[in-house]
Amino acid sequence: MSTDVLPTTRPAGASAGKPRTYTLRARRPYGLWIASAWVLLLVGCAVAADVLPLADPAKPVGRARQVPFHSLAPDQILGTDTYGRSVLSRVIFGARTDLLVTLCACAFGAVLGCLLGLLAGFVKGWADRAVSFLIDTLLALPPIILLIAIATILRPSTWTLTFGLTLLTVPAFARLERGAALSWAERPFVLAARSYGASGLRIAFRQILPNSLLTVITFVPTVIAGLIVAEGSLGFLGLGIPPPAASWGTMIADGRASLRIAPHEVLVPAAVVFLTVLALNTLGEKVRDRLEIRSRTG
Amino acid sequence: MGRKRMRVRVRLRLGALALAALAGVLPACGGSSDEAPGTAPSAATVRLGGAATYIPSGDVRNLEPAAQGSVTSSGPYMNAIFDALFTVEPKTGNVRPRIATSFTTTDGRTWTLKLRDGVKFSDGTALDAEAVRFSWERLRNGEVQAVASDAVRQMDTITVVDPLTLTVTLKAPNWQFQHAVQDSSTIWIVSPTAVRTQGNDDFAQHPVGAGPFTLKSRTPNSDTVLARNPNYWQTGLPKLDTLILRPNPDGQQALDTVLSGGAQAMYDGVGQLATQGKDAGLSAPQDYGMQGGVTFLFNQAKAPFDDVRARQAVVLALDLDEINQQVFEGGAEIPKTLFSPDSPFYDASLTLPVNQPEQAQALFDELAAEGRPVSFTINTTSGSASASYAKAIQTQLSTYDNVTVEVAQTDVPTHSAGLRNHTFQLASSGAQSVDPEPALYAALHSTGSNNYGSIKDSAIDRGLDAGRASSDEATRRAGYLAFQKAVIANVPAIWAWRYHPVGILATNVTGLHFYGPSSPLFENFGLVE
Repeated sequence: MSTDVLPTTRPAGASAGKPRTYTLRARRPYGLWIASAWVLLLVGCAVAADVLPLADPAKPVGRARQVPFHSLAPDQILGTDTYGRSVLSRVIFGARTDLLVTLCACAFGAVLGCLLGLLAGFVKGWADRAVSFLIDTLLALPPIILLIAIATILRPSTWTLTFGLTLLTVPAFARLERGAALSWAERPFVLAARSYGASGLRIAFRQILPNSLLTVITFVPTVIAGLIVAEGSLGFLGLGIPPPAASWGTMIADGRASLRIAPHEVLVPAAVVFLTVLALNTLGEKVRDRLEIRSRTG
Repeated sequence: MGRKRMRVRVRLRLGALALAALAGVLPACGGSSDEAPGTAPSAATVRLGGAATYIPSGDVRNLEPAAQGSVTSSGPYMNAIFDALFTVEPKTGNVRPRIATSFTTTDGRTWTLKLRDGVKFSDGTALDAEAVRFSWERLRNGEVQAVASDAVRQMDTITVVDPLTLTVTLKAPNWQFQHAVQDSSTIWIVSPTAVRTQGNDDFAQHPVGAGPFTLKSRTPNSDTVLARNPNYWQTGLPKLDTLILRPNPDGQQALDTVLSGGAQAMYDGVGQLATQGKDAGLSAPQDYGMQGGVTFLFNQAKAPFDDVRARQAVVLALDLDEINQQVFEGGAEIPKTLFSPDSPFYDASLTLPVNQPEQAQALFDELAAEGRPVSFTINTTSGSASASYAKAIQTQLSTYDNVTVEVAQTDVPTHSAGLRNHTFQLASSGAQSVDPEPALYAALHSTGSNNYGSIKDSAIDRGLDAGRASSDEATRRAGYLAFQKAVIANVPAIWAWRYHPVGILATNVTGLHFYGPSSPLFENFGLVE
C-alpha cells in the first residue's frame, strides 16, 4: 500500500513540542472492485446464458412456488415461481433482457442526445432555441406517464420498451452535451482551428465532440441504472416485456400476488435489481471521480 | 368445490368483473309483492343512522343508468340511487319484485309489468308506468349514449295501460324475458321530470331515482357519498344516514381496508378472499355459484380456432386444476360441468373436456402435419386474474410441441373493443348467470348480442332456443341438456373458473343483501348496536 507523508504544520495555538505527522493512506477501492465484479458477473451470465446449464426460462421445471435451496439442482436452487419456472434461470435470462434493452436505449439516447446537444451548443441561435424547446417538452412529461402512454399506444415489445427508454435518456444527454459544447467552443484551440479556416462540421466533430465525450461517458452507468429501474417499473405495471420472456420487472410483477406465501419470487429479482443499480451507481461515481482527477491533472 | 384456505394476494375482482356476464333471474315472476325485498336483519340488532362504507370493484363512468353496460360493476351505484324493478334469489332463482310487483306473460311475446303503488322518486314525482316507458324508450332511441342491452334489442313496442301497468311486446317470443330485463340497465328507472329539467348530461352527474339514497357528493375514482332518501318507498328504511362508495379494484387491498376498519363491506368474486376474511373474523353471509363461468373464448372465425381440433387440443392440453393451484392457490372452483349441481339443468354425465396430454399432443402434431400449426395470441386485461391465468396457460402449453402462444395484455376498453370486433384468437371473457338466460344465450347463440367467438352451431342454437321458448322446467331441461352436449362437442371456450359472488362484512354491520353477480341492496345495510 502506498503511503503519502504530508508535511505537517502546527495548528495555531498548539503547544510547541514534537511535531505530529499526519498520514493519508490511499484506500483500496473495494467498492469499485465489488461493483465491477458484480457487473462483470451479470454481463457474463447474460452473454453466456444459452450455454449455462439452465432450464428454459419459459418452461416449468417443477412444482409451483418451491422455496430457494429446497433442491441444489441448478434449475431450482433459487426456487420456482408461480408457474413452476426456474427463478435462477429467469433471473439470468432477465439480466440479458434488461441489459440489452437498457444498453440499447442508452446508446441510442446518447447518440441522439449528443447530436442534438452539439447542434444546440455549437450552432446556437435558432438551433439552440429549437433543441431547448424539444428538451424542455420531453422533460415536462412525467417519465412513467410517457412510458405508459408509449406502451399503451404501441404494442408492448422489446423494441417498444427500448424506444420509450431512449426517449427518456435523450434530454439528459442533450443537456449534458450542450453545456459541454458551449464550454469547449470557447477554448483557444477551437478558436485557433477557426482561424485556420476549419469547417464548422470539422470543428464540431473533431474538436468539440471528442473532448466533451468524457463528460458523457461518466454519465452512462448512472443512466443505465435509472433505466433498469424504469424498465422494472413498467414490467411491474404489466407494460414491460411480454410474457413468457423474462425480465426483472415482470418477475417482480408476477410474484407480487404470491408475496405472502412465496416471497422469494419477488425478493430474488428485487435484490438483483438493487445490487445492479447500486453497482452501476458506484461505478459511475468512481469513474467520474477518476476521470475528473485525470482531467484536472492532465 | 375445492376452495381452500387462501392466504395469497389475488387480483381477481377487476378482471372477473370486466369479464362477468350479467346474472339472470328464474321464471317465478309475480311473486308476493308484500315480501320484504332484502334480507332484513333483526330490528333489535341494527340501529338507525350512522355512516358506512362499501367498496365496489370499480368506479362508474357516470351515474346515468343508460351508460352502464354491466349490472355487475355498476350495481352498487345504481341500486343505491335507483333501486331495482326485480331482484332474484340466488339459490332458487325466484324473482322477488321490488318496485314492480309482477312481470308476467301468457304467450311469451307480450309481457305485463305491474308497479307498486305509491313509489316516488327522490324529487317527489311518481314512479309510474310512464316513467318506466320513458326510461326504456330512452335506452333505445339514441337520446343518450346507451349501452345496447339484450333486453332493449328484444323490445318491439312499449305501451302504458294505466299508471301502474305497462305492457311490452317483443319482436319474438321469449318466455324468459324477465331475465333480460333484470339483467340490464332496464331495471333502473329514472325520473322523467328530472331528465327533462336537467338535461341528459347534467342528469348523469346529478341523478334522481327512487332508491334508498340520493347523491350528496362525488369524486370520480374516489368517494361517492350518498345520503338517506326521505322519500324512499320502504317505510323506515334505509337504516343508514350516509352510505359511502369507495371503489378499489384490488381485492386484497379492499379486504385489508375492511379489516382495518376503513370500510365495512365488500364482495369477492371467487370466494378465497371471503375465506381469508372469515379467518380474520369478518362475516361472509352469502355465497352462491353461477352457471357457466369465466372463460377464455375461442374465436371460431379466425385460424387456428376455426378448426375444432385446435380448440380441442388446447383444452385437452391444459390441467386446469394445476392452474387453479398456481393462480388461486386452489381457491377457485374449476367447472367440471357447464351447470353447477344446484342447477335444475345439471347432469353429472355431461362433463367438460379434461386434461389428456397425449391426445392433445397428437392433435397438435396432426394439425402441424397438415400445415396448420397451432399458433395464437391470448388477449387479456392487464393486472387481472385472467392475465395470470393466461400466463399459466402459456406456460403449460410451452411443454407441448407444435404449439406457440403469446399473451397480449391491454386495458379493459381495448380488450372489450377486441372482443366486439372479433379481432382476437383466444380472449378472456365470461358467460355466467344464475340461469342460462340471458348470459349464455347472449354469448353462445349465433344471434346472441355477445357472441364474440363467432359461434355458429345449430345444435347450440336449438338448445338455447328451446330453453328460451318455454317456461316449463322439463321442456327447458331437455333443451339445456342438448345444449350442454353441443357445447362439449363444439368446445367454444376454456371454462376457466366458476364465478362465486360473496359479500364480506365487518363485524359491526349487517343487512347487506346481494343478488346476481355481486349487486348489493343497501336499504337494510346498517350498523349493529
